[in-house]
Amino acid sequence: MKTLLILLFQFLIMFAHAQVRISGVVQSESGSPVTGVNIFIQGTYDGTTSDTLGVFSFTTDATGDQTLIASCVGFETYGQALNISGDISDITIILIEEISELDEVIINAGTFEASDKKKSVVLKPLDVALTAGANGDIFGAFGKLPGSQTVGEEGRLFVRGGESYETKTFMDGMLVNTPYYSKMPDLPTRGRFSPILFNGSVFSTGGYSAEYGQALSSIVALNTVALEPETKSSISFLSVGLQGSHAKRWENTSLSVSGEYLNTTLSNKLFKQNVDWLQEPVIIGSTMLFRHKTSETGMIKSFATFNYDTSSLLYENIEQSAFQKISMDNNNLYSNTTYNEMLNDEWMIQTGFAFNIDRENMDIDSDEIATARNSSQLKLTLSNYSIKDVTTTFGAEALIYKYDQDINMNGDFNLSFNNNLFAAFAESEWKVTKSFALKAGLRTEYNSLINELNAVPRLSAAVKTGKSSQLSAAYGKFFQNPGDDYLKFTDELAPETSSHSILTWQYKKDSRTLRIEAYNKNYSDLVKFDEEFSAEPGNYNNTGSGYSRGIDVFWRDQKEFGKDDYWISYSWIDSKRNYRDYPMKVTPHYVSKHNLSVVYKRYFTKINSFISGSYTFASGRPYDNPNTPEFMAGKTKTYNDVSFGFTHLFYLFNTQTVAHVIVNNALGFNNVFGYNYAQTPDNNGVYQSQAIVPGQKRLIVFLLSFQL
Amino acid sequence: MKTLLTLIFSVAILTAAAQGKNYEAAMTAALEKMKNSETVANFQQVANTFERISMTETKEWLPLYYASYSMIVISYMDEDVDKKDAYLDKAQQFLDKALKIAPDESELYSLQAFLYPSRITIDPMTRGMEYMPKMNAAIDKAIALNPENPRSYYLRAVTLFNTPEQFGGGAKVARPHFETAKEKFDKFEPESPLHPNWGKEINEMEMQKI
Repeated sequence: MKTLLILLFQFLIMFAHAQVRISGVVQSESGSPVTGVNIFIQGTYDGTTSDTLGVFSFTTDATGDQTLIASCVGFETYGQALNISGDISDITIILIEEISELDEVIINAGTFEASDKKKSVVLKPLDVALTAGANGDIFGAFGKLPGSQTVGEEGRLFVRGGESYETKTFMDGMLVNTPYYSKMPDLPTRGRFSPILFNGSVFSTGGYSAEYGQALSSIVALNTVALEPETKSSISFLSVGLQGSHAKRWENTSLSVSGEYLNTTLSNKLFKQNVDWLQEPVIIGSTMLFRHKTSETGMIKSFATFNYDTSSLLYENIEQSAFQKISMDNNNLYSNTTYNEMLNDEWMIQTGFAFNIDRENMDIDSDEIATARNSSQLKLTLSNYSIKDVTTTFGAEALIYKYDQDINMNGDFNLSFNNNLFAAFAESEWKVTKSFALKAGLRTEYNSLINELNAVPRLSAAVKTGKSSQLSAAYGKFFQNPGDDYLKFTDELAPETSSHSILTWQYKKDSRTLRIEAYNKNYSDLVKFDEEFSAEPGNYNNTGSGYSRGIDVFWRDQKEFGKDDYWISYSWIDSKRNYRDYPMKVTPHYVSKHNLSVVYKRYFTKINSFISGSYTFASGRPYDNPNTPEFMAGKTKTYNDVSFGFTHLFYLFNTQTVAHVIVNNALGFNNVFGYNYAQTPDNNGVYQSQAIVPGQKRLIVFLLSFQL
Repeated sequence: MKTLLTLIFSVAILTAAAQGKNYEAAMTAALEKMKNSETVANFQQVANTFERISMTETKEWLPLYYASYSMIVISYMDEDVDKKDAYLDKAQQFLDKALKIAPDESELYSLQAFLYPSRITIDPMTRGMEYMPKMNAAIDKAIALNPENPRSYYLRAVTLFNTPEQFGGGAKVARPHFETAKEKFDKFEPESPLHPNWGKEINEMEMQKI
């Protein structure tokens, strides 16, 4: 009986709780009501969801000191101490908007980023692979962005009045010393790496981070894919060769290998060549990617590629009024291994080792030039996140470079040098507020060959000027060692230097992006000489200088999938320099004042086809006509190109198949890149000239790829 | 002394029973509400309810399952492309938490396979390549863990049905999967009234379309 009484008593205790009502309203910082917010007493089921007016009201059994929580997608979770002894009304909860990536201020002066993950970027990795006129070449695609110059006979990136050597390429943070295939005179080369290897890339046209050095103008930073999504194979037949790949996926590891054999013999027969090939270009290449996930945040990536390319042609050397047989072959091995991991909540480590062995043999008639370029790099970066809104990165790297050239030209000569470069950098980014961010960095380098120790600052900042617009600025100083072709003659040179000042305004709303960027770049200590290829060390000095200034405009309207997507990029540039053997400051031959690219893409769902087109325009480029007294006063005609790409996805023999066709210069413009002149005048006292033209007027490439 | 022991003992039992009853009652009520949900706001409400339950019942995967499920449904319903990823991030958070509690639960992998296609719809061109293999892997895992879970077969069928023929999809390829799903649905008995038991009707609706 007593027990029963006790039980009864307990029931009473349990159910006699007085329920209290908690009510109030949820607002955003701007005072507008927030709907759908989950409001509850921590540790209980008691709670509710705010209505369309942000109003909430619920009952609870909880008493005493409690915590009221309010959480909602897009807002920071809110917590409030609450002493419950009776009904509480009129609670006003102010939720702070989570800075979504779209609204966040981003320091982006000088930078174009392509990424799948981030929404703030203006490009997708597929844009890089599928831009018409880029021929599936990463550098070709970046060539359609503002800041880059159209230099058709080079195929390399020329950025803001800088030469191609002023742009450096990095893969997973590691330097790629020889990113392009070997190059024949007056004919373009292309990048060695397939764009599908990368799921993110950054093309910076100036003002880049202190992490990167030894580049006067620009960097291209490529990030390789993480784990392969699945085990799969593919084989592709091209009008210019064969490609095959196989990827194997385990739980936390993947390995993929690919190989290619490219031969343009057939293609060159179909499309009339302006080149007298003795041996059509052949490329044999193979690539290996190994990935292993060491933890939730840790990844080891290993990449290796080997390729061999060879070709031979009869070159009309008008300078020396002779026909020369030029043969070239190149062996290139590049490998890097990187490891990234969050060590704890505060520190992230990124470390890597890379090496590159490049052997090039060039025979010009009976002269032989064999060049070996070997480099290896070790890099360690630590990032710290311990202070809220501040990311600080420290890094150090060592780069060992050996250059060795044997020349057999009326006797044997050897030109060689070694340079060991050690660099350290520190950089800190501070998101002061949601709409204001600052970044400051310092990089210091020591070069063993030229005994030079220097330190340079990098500064950047960004401020939101509205919900959809922001202003970003960057300033930096940059050093780069003189090129191999100078250092092999003399170590009495100092690094070339440049400074960049950049101001960018970006407006991004929904599908539209507008970017306007103004910049000023000053060059000093550029290498000058009196006579090219003079082995006299005293011939070379650092008295050259120059400048580039201009405005780059980028407009993109990228509607949802299956709708029109296009971008327009325009660059105006004023650039002059006095370097090499120039007698005065002039606009160099690779700079055209106006560059315009229009790129259009669309996926047609009904026909499962992707269509892309591009139009590229460049105003005339300067060239030096020795028949006139002024230096570099000639101007080529304008450059025009209309290119198309067509990709059709279908099922053939029960296999997923991709058919891809690219047409370059579909309208057959007769483009002229410049002129070569004879060194000596003919009998009439006239220097004879020859136009530098593309290897072929039109080019069509077919590809049929099977996913096995 | 005896009285005190009885007191302590009975308090313990009663509290446990009350809490257990409370959990079941709360879940049952929330499931009932979910069944009648039609709008984004409705689903947001039930997602919130399940989230609240999950925060107290840290050893139960079901509240997290339904919280995640509701967020995925919202992601399919909301037209605002920019918001979809935020909903799915939240859904994935719930799902990841649930997987920590019940790492071998077939239903959670099925739910993962329900989530991925929503990610793909946001940007099919770039995301298809990444998420299709992930989705297939999730279905395979769900089937391996429990071959009788009908939702795995339904999700495979409906995905194939919505995939263009050129990519190995289409009605013809999907039909046998719908049929397997139907067989499994007919036989399926949920472990408890609180366990996942959705998909039978929609499977039959989709079959009508073939």
